Amino acid sequence: MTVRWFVILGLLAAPALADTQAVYLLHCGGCHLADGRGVPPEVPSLRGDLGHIVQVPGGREYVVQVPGASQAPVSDEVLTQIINWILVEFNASTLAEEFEPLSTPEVSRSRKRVLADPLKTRKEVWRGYE
Amino acid sequence: MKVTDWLDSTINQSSRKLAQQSSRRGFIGRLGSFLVGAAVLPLLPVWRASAATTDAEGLQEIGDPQSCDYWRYCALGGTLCTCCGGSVTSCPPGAEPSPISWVGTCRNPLDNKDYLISYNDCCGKATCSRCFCHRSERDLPVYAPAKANDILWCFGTESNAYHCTVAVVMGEATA
Amino acid sequence: MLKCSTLLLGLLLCAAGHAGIQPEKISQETMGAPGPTWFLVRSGLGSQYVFDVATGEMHGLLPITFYTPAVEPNLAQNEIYAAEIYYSRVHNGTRTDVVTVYDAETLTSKAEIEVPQKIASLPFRHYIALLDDAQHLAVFNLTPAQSVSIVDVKQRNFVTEISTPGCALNFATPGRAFLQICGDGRLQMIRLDEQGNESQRVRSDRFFNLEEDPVFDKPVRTASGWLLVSYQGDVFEVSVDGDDIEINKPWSLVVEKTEGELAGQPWGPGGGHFLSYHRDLDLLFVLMNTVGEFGQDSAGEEVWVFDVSEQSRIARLALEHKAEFLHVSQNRDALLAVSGEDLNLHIFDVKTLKEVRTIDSVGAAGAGHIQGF
Repeated sequence: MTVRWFVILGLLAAPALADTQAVYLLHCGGCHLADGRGVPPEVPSLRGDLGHIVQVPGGREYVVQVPGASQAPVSDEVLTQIINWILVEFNASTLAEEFEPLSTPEVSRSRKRVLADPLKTRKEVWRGYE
Repeated sequence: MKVTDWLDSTINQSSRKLAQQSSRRGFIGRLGSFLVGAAVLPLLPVWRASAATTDAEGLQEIGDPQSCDYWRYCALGGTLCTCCGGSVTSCPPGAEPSPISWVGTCRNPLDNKDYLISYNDCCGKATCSRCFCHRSERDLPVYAPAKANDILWCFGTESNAYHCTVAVVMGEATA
Repeated sequence: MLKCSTLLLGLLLCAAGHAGIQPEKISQETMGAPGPTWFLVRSGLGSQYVFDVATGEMHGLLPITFYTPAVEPNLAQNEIYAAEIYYSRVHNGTRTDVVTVYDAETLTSKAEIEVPQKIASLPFRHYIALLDDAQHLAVFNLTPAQSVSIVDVKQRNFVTEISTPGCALNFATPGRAFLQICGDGRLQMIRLDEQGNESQRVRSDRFFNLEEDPVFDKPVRTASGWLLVSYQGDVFEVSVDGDDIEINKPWSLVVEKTEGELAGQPWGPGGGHFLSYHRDLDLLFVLMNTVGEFGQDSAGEEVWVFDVSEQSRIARLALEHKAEFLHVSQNRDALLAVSGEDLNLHIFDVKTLKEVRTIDSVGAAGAGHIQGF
């Protein structure tokens, strides 16, 4: 399943792709690596699974609330940009066609709730997660 | 032999050596051409002290990469691979580059721009105890590991024995 | 001099020639019970040297590994615990992570408990915590994923690994529980059941802003809980009541930012382990520097002494040699040990703040991280 092309173009057009990639490298790339593959199992891969996770109930909140995302020293607006960029850049093949990019208000709301036990939540949110 | 002849031959030697090292750095290779360009910096002994150097991709630098004051080391905690048989972007012989690191930002005094600096550790050997530095610009405590330099960053390597630290330019910082 | 042969005859002749001197016999000491002024002083990332700072005498060496962050003494059992990483060929080869149970009298390993290969390295006192049941030990892991290994030091077995993303460090709190500091500006408390498995997890309200003024990862224990200091010198006193994590409104170590004799001077706390607290005297000792912004790791130029319940500074001690580590003894005639940049350990009488002793030759790398028993 591929994301509708106009969604991808919309996300890439504004804000500047190069900027978001630099922000990804600064706050995520050190551990998840420049291409998002991470070093499983200690550092999860951001390629593929995320596309599935955001489709299930609780998934969109989860990807905002994981400490790596919610604790990054960036505004809600920039965090929204980074997460959408990761989804499109690394998960285009697994994102649903009707995928709606995360919005800043949505990310703000999710970010306010503390996820004290991410591993437990991950298992609950996505039964298919190994 | 004219000085210019000597300089030319030294430049060719340095570039060859760095090119060979580049091909071994698989994880850097994945990061794209802008990074490889930034990494190629012929360091001529006679110029090391304070002359500007220019690389193919336009990153101009100044200063001594074997000194803690070097601009890239603004948040480096550890020993310098440049003093240990490595360079700012390469591990000394037999020391494995860690794929995982933390990324900070430092200001380049030549162009006053902020650059992303990846502080990768070189691992799997006894510590090279030369050129110990501990600078802390924008470094955070260990409960914020993505910005913490008081962590032994040898993760994803065969051994977590710490040898030294490099400072790899990842690009310009934007936000 | 008559050269003594090894033959019996030779020995008898020797004995006759050197009448009255018997050969000495070599023996081995056992370390006595550590007193309140006995400290474990680390030389760089090497072994810990046990000194009585009151006498300046060294009593023994605890041979912890390069990676071992700190040790957790349990003198009631005559034991000292350390989370250690070993390789079969010193720096590589087959890796084994263990909690070593050191005998406190011989300072040698008497047991090992294997744990997941995830132990976090580099000197942090609070990467290891014996919980208040004196049975369960919490070891902080970093891979860089954050988790905690729980070990039963009585049964001598590994119990479980508890995943703690976003939070780090373990500091013991009543009720078989420990606190951690989290990157979202909160504290997290994890409570264990009798078997050592997680039974509860709670988070405090947000009390600091990571970007504006983070708290240091080096808390100190008080009689009622823990004390945390922020980069800009705010002091937070933490106590736990049941499931409530109580954090008081902070007071400042650097009140005179704008007025008085220190106005305009960028004093701030910093260094390695730069905080130490005397429980009975209610005194907090802090290494302070004038580096200003980004001075959180800079060596201290002075020690400032604070009365915690009065929330005020009562003394300043200018250091001849800048320092990154200090530690105060818990006895009445307290001594303050400071690891100077001259590599020596400087001992001050707390009542007079006069230097009473300098201990030199503390290992090849000089005096570093200090902890007590």
